[in-house]
Amino acid sequence: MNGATVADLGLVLPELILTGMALVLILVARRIQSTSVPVVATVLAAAAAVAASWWVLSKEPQSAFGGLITVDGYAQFFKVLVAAALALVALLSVKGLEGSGAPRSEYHVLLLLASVGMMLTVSAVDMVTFYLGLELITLCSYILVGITVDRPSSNEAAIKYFLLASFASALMLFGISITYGLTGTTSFSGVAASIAERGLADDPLQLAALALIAAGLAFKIGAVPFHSWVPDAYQGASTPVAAFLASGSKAAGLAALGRVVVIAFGPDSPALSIILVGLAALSVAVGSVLVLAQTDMKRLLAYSSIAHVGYAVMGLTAGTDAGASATMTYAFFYVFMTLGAFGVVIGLGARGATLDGYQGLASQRPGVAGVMLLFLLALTGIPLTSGFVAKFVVISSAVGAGYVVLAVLAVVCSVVSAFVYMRIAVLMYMREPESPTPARFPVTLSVAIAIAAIVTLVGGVLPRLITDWAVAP
Amino acid sequence: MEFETIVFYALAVATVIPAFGVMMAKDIVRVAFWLLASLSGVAGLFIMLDADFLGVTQVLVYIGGILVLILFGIMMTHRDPVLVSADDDRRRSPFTGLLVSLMTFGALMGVILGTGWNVSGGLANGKLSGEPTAAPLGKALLTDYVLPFEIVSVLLLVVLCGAAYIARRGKDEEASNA
Repeated sequence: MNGATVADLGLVLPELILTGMALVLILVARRIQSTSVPVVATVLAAAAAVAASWWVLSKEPQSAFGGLITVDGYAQFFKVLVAAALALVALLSVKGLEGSGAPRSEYHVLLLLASVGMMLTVSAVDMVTFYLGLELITLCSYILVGITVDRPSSNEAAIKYFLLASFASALMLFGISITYGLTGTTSFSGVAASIAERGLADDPLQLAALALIAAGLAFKIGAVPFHSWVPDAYQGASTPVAAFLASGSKAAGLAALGRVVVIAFGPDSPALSIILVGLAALSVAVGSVLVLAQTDMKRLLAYSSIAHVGYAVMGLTAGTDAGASATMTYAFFYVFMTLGAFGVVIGLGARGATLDGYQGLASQRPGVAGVMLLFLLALTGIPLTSGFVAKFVVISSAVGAGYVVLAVLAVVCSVVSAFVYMRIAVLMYMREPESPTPARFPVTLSVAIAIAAIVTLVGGVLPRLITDWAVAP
Repeated sequence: MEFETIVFYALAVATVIPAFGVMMAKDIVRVAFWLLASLSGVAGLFIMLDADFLGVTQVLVYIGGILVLILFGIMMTHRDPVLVSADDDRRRSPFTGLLVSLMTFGALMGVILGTGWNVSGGLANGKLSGEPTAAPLGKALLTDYVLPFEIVSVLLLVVLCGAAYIARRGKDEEASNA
């Protein structure tokens, strides 16, 4: 531990920008009448954070605050992704929160501070910052899920989420403290060194600690068997909050899992591989099968997110840098396709909440139906969309690691889940409309959906733009 | 028997017996007071292990803060502070609970005794240094661990905002109902 210096503050500039903007919004909350001020502020802060994370990395990768966090390409990749998700969710919230009674400024403060937590989590290389970052995300998420005043379902979802997530956090903390007791250090690299030096890889207590930490993280990203909160929380939360949980939180959780897997507990741990393969296989299978039965769009996207997390975790099963890079690519593309799909759901309002609402959309609003089709194709994993590239890299990394059965399962499940995505496409294009033509989307929403659509298309045609950037820690 | 050993067993008894009280008592106010005794015992154990700061924090946070909060919670919400009704007792068999807790105890003890803990410093040779820990902890929090310290500040800010928002919301609803 070398201690912290003032110069370290420059390395957390993206986090400082977001925190500063959140503090300003808290101070002026009572004076803001217009809904657009906090949105503009949040988008500007996110853009500044992206610029800052680029500026910070213009020097070589380095650790800050005495090795508690690191500023490397991996952290930068996820920080940019988190900031992008934050900006898009802020744009989606303009229409998504209309008439919900949620306080605008406080809502954006929570989005900003949750993003700070995500940025700290993705750059954490020490159990202390890792845990605190995750807690900051979940604390903001509890309040965001319960922020809509007039819906009892929102309160119920928030309480359920709070109880289950507290339990998961406690389990993870228990695992972290056991690891500290065994290795005498909290830094990821120190843990790895101590495990190698003292031959703890097969120690039963170390395995228990590993399982506890993995279970806590699996809960945070909503992987089966720790997924039961996901559909309830997404359905109870307002749609932009659900979009935020599905995009930013998952990306940060996956980033943290990636660092723990690759650095702390090492790629050589067979127990870790078994845990990850189990999480991936169960999530993909359960998510893909249960998604078939859903008629509520938020629940449908929730089960879809469970399956997609399974695919993303598949990249990590290899335990190699290439595998971690595949997971990064997956997280990146998934964030944009799911935000796009949530954007269309928000734009259609009450009509977009259920499957039936999509009947005959193509004849009424061909443009909206077109982008929705694009996101559905990407979620399925059809070539020329980013979804195909994402699935291709994770499945090939699983095959490379020798998990052929897992890869076959993933392909089969992606065919199974295609039924539900294609059912929406059929409803949109091959049925007569039953409800009146939906109103035009506001500009903010259209911009957000357009950005998501462009990333999804460009990622499918020119995947190297992202895969070259996604370099494992 | 050494003096330290006697103190340890005294504190252990002072922790475990009230813990049984927490489990057996049906009145939540009694549970709260048994918890007070048990947590004080834990604070004593911390101080015995040279973790004086942790011991004092235990008294301040758990006994001073959380317990008072529980009592306030009881005072403000329930008129009939009974934790379990008689029906619940008849339906549940105590043996399942006993079995699960004994199995957990066995597994934990087995693992704890069978593990080579990485003990360093004064603990390694079985002697405690007797140095107070508050000063080094405070120094570490504001130097090496200043980042986690600040993250906790942001976290508490979120908690404060959330609690204020949720509490105010309840008040607004009451006002609109009345």
